[in-house]
Amino acid sequence: MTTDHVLMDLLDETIAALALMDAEKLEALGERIELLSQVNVVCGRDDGKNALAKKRVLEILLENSESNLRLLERLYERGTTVQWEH
Amino acid sequence: MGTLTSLVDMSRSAMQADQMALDITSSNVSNQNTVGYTREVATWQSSDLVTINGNTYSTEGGVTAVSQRDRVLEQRVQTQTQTQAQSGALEAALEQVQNIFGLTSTSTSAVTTDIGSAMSSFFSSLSTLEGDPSDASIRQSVIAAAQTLVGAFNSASNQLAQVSSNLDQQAGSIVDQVNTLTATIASLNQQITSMSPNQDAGALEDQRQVAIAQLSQYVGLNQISTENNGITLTTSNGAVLVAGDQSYGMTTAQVSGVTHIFGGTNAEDVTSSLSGGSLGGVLQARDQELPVFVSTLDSLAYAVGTQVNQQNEQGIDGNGNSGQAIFTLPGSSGGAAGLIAVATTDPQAIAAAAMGEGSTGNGNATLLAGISTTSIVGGETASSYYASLLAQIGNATAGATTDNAAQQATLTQLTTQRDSLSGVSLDDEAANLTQYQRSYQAAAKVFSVADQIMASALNLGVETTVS
Repeated sequence: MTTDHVLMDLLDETIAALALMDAEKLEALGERIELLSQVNVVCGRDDGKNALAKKRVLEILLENSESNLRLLERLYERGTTVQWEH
Repeated sequence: MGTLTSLVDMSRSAMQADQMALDITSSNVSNQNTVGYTREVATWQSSDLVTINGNTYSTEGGVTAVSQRDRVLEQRVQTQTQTQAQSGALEAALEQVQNIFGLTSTSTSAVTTDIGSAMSSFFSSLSTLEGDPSDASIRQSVIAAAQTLVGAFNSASNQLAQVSSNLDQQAGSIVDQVNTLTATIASLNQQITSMSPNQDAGALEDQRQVAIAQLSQYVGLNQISTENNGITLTTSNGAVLVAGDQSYGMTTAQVSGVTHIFGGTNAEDVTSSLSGGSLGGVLQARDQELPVFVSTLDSLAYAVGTQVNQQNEQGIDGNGNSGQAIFTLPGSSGGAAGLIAVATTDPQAIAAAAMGEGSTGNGNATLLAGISTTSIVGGETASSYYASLLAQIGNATAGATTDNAAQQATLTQLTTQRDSLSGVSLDDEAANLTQYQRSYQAAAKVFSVADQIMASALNLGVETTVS
């Protein structure tokens, strides 16, 4: 398997793990991509397009995740406030 | 002052509360596989305190079954369902368009598609005619190439019209499903409202929630909670679908040959302002994306036909007469790809000779062949304009695919969060939040490193152009 395919698989796995909020898996993927960054990855035109598309999916998902996380934090804060009020 | 009777009452009350808590647990266990069932938790409520012989007791230990599904999270899931269903429907429609033009995710070469190949062959045949304008078989091949080109334009146009027609039918079918669900929700609203607030309508509320979740697949919604656990639903643009026990069915009617949708209390035309759900995606594809492609294809067919006709009319045909139009075209570009036809079957109708050359000249054939390299539409040559159309279709489809994948993953994430947080304690909620924060940070790190890797990878690559 070539390095560009490893990168694409890694992006796929990250998207799937982030959808499930699997922290352990994502941290392991973080370590794997650090290792990958130490070698030269060369992308051809088609692979480059695919990798860019996957990166874009991850980018949108991260933006949505950030917004969802903020909402959850607000809900939690509201919950603790209500608890203390009682 | 407390009495023995008070103590007995308190004991009985406590036992009833324990029994109700057990019932709730039992209900949670037995319904764990029921679709739409909301886990319930026992909420203990202390009431007035009394003092008996210096000791303080609660007069009542009550318990109520409260649906703990967070309404905010539920609404986020619903909204995301609508967004994802729209992007899914749009992607499906654009993939059909992509298939019409023979595009795949890895092949966007215009010349390998039917129209690209037919245009190339047509102009090649004119170049060949330039070499020997008196050869009848070469003349015949020009007519045959013109017919192939016309066939390719007609076929693509017909298939685009078919996609549009299918989307039309889909819109009608979705409206039927929306109406069935809104009628169900109105009926459940009526039952829930009649039970609230004195009886637990949790099971009916769950059924209503399932129906609303299904409705979210079809159309964008606004949800407003009303008194006694009622819910009012409107489309994303405010047309009322359900108000109390009344549902307002959407209707369809043909307007200029296209299905329009009418909704709300006044049955207004809401077609152009509907969004969300598969209906939103279908309408976006039909009314926003498809017309651009159709119009571009029409412009191309019209420009090629017009230019060839005008040039042919400048020359002398094989019979020594002034050239006539080769193609039949409508008065304007609208519908040209579907209506363009070859006006003659006579090979001698090709005006290869220029004026003054006699019928065996080739001056006009040179000019006819030269149309292929002349800017004739949108400031571009025909082949370049067609390549732009293909790129436009390819980019739109790829963008829709990317967006749908991201929206699907977001929906999975929200559903996971909703299910994990339904009915948990604040401590569990805090633990979940910590895990979500770790997940987000780890994923953000992967993205950041991937971004750096790809920036250098695409620069290092032999083929570095990624458009």
